[in-house]
Amino acid sequence: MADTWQAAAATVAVRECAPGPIATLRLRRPSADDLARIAALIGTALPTVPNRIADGAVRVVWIGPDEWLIIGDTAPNATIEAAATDAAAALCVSVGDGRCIFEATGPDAAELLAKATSIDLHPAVFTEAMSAMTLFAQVNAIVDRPPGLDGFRLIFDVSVRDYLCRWFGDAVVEFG
Amino acid sequence: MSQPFRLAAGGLIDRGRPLSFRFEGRDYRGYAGDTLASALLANGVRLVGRSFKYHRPRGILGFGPEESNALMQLGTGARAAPNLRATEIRLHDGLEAKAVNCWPNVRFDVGGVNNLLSRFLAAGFYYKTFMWPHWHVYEGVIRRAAGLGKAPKAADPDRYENRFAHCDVLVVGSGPAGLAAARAAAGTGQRVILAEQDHVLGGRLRWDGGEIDGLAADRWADEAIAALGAMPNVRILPNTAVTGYFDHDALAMIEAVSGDDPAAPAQLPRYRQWQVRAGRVVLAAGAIERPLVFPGNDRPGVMLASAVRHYLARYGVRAGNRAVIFTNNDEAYRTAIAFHAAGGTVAAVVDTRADVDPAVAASVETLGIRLLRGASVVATRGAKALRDVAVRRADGGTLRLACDLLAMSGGSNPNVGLFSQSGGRLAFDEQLTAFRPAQSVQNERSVGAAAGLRTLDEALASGHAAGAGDGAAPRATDAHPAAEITACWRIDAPGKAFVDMQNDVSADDIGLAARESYRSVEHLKRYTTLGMASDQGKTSNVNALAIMAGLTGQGIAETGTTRFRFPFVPVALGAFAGRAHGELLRPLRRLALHDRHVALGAIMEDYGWLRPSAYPRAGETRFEAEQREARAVRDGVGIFDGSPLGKIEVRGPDAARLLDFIYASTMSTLKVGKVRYGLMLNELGVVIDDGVCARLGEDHFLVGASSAGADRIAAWLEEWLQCEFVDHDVLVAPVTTSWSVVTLTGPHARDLLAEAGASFPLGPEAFPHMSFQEGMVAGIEARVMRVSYTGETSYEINVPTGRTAELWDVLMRLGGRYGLTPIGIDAWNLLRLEKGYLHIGADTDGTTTPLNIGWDHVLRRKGDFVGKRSLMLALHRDPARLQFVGLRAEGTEPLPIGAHLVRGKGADRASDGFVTSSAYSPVFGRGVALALVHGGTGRIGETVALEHDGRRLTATIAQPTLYDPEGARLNG
Repeated sequence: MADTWQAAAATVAVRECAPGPIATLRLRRPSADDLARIAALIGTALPTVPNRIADGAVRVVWIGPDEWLIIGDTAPNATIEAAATDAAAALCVSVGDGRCIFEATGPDAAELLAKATSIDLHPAVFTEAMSAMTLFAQVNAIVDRPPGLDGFRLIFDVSVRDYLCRWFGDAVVEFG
Repeated sequence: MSQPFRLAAGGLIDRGRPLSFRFEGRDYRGYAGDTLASALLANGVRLVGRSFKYHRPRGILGFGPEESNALMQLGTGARAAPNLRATEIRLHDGLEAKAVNCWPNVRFDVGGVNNLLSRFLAAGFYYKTFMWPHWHVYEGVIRRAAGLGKAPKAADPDRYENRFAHCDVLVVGSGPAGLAAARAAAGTGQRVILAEQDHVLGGRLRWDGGEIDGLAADRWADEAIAALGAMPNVRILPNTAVTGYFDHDALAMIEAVSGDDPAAPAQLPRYRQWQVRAGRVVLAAGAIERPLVFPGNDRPGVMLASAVRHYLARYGVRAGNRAVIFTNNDEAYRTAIAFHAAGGTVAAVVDTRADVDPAVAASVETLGIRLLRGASVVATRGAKALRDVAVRRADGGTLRLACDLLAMSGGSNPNVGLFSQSGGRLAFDEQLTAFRPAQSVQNERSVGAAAGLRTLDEALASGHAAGAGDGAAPRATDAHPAAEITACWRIDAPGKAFVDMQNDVSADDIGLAARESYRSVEHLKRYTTLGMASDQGKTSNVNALAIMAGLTGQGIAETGTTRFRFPFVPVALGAFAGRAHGELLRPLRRLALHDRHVALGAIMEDYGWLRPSAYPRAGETRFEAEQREARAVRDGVGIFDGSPLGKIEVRGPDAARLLDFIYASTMSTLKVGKVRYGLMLNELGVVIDDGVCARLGEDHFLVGASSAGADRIAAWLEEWLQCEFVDHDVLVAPVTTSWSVVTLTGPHARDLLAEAGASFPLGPEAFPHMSFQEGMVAGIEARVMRVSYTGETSYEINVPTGRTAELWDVLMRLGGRYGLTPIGIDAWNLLRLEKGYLHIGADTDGTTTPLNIGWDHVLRRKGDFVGKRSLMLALHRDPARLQFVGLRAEGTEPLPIGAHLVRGKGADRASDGFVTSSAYSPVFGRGVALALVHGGTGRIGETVALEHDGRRLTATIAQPTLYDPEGARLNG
């Protein structure tokens, strides 16, 4: 939808990524079979350890004990809901149109993020494949450290995209 | 210009990089590495400021944040910065400084007349003089006289930054103890932050001699710093003062990044505020020397003995030619020796103690320096610089000693400010004659001089231990022995002896406070202003409370200290704001159609979201635009961007059960494909939101919230589910911004929608008012609701946000022949007002219940819902309660929102209700309004008087629904 936006300084770069399809999946009391069926459908196991992401055919972010964010092309929402036959309730809705995604990379990526969020992003603490929901520059964010990326990915609400472009554009300035 | 007090060699300055600067209109030179204070001293400038109250001439006292006299106004115009301490200002080329608190200049200051009046200006003078009812007489004068520097009026052009940081160990201070702690901690791989307020690391190692592990102290510091700097787990922050110590080992720091140097790269901030979360904290903040309290101790040329030593070693500056050293302890003898070694003349060491350790005495006497035991300085002379001092000898006789420098030492206070902020308890140490940390509360440890330790070896050992590293601690192979001290809180002699130089509080003022029963240290502080302002009593607090203890007969420990507060040093306000100002002050949400609204000439306003208020055409006022837009909806068709409306998916076998409890009306009886309006209440029965709820399936609802309530209501549902209804099989997902809403409203709405193409029937039978359709509109996946906020036939078309513009463009292109008109919030509000539709937050407030707005018969009777019990209170059922009604104004002028209906006369005059929404109605050709009126429902047709801002108005009470009360247009 939006033009791809970017900003760069000597030691850090920020770029906007097209969010693509994203779905919120919530399951109430799913069985192990439910989880296995959904994993088979989307090609990725749902992470059950808090603050983790799982990478497979799609990427799945752990949001809560009964909630995940599925990022990437996948089976229709209704098909996923239907796979949770044992669960007391299942809800899978598309939210990609309501999100925007930025990637911050480079040696000072963690320093850039430290201007906006109070969580500890040191690689020994916030390890690869971790994620967190946090307040970032006054707005809600999901931060994760995708394997192989020299930095972080941040998911925000689309309505603050313009504000964040201004924020990132200003924030990289001090990095030369 | 020469620097007559600069030594030929020595100091951590770059003599190859001379810098020019200007002070009080005169040009001087200094070197890179200088502070403004060291450069002024090098140039022989003694008079650097005027005191706050009496405008007495003052000189440099210290060398760091304790400086109470040399307060500077730096820069000009928008960049002007007041009250910076000359001891902390890094010199740069072209620096311009002016002393604060004097006019026209520091050398000739008109305010100096206050000094002559000083006997009338004692402590408490303000409270006794500037009293009601003549405050207005004094206020202007006080406002001009009060304060120190001048704050700039223009917006601050400088950059300020904020940064969060985490570490295993935060080390505060880089003296011997701090460096030992940092090395020990870093060596085990822990993440270490080392913060040093000075621009040079090393603290006392840079100026107080000694030898560590066989290396000269400053060489050892260099090596330790280089080793730390090479470690990836260490962050070294010079120019960084730790200002606050909060709960859970969270600390605040302020880093002076650019140093106010205009040559610094533009992208660098002036200050950066750090918020640090530390695993543990090592407080190696050192100690600050105390002045002695004797008459004339504030004359320019009277300095702390440690400062004299500091300027010699750090900057190669000898602060005078002929010095008298005045002390009650051994440490000041080092100043005599260093001053002598630097070619100065030491006229005498005046020691208040009759017994001086023979070795200490010999250390100066062997140099030919005269030592006066049991003696005191009792007076000083010199107009704008010290000329001589009067000494009272042990035998009672006095002598005068000519000198241009008096180096005084009353002992040292460990820097316990951060420790105290952390909640730690202090104890008074008689041997040290100072307060030191006694009992920790958080995960911190004080080390070195900050812990009251007196030797280099103890500092190194304590630092190393606190760093919890491996191996042996560094050892002092040569160091000063522990300095012995005998307390001396005040020299008994006539004349003004200052305790707090910044606030001009003398020992006599403390006596006055004691006589007037302001004996608690906190009362003493407020009554005399002692310990206030930018230095926060760093050199004065302990002297003051000891003097008070002497007057009251209480011990010093019992007298206690005032509370040490954040921040330890003054912080520029910009550093708190960081980048959060201007367009980054707070996030404003934008609509997917933002650019299209702007292109149509919309006035975009802050509703949390930036939304179009109106789309005025050329030559049209905002009011005219509102009226035109409203008429277009009544006559043709309008298009409105309703995207911020809250949308929450609710799903599960217990969905209807949950919603019956959350809404004050019944949702479980809603048929699939239908839509129902509902109110949500809180536990007090107060209306917190309204909106429509659609049933998408047997166990699937789409809950609509107001635009302002979207996030709040989603959280509200989640909270009830997670905290109260853990047995409910329901799941909730907010999808507000995933769908945007384009609303068509007006008699031609259906025609236009049909033309755009819908995959479902649009006729009033197949798709009636208050129903829902899912399908395609203009080839786009859509959820469409027939609900109306205008009273006209309306379609709320929800499409995925990424395709909103596509839909908008199709409708705008096809809408021309129907006179399709974009509608702003102004017209939207007018249309709903004519229809009597509620606007939560405008027509309701934090006390409004459904019984105030005519919902008496809509509330569900069966079962429970949030707020139901509260609505049973008699208070809410009183027939005279506020009730929601319409008002027709007598004339064309709209009634002011907030105008009150008034009943009764004289003392019985009271409010009878108030206007909540108001506008000029083009349909009725008059002002119409909504109001909450006492007993309003039973008063339809009554003519009432209103008042607002002294104006009197008349209106008639009517049903809330003024327009199309039968709903013919709505259902058409």
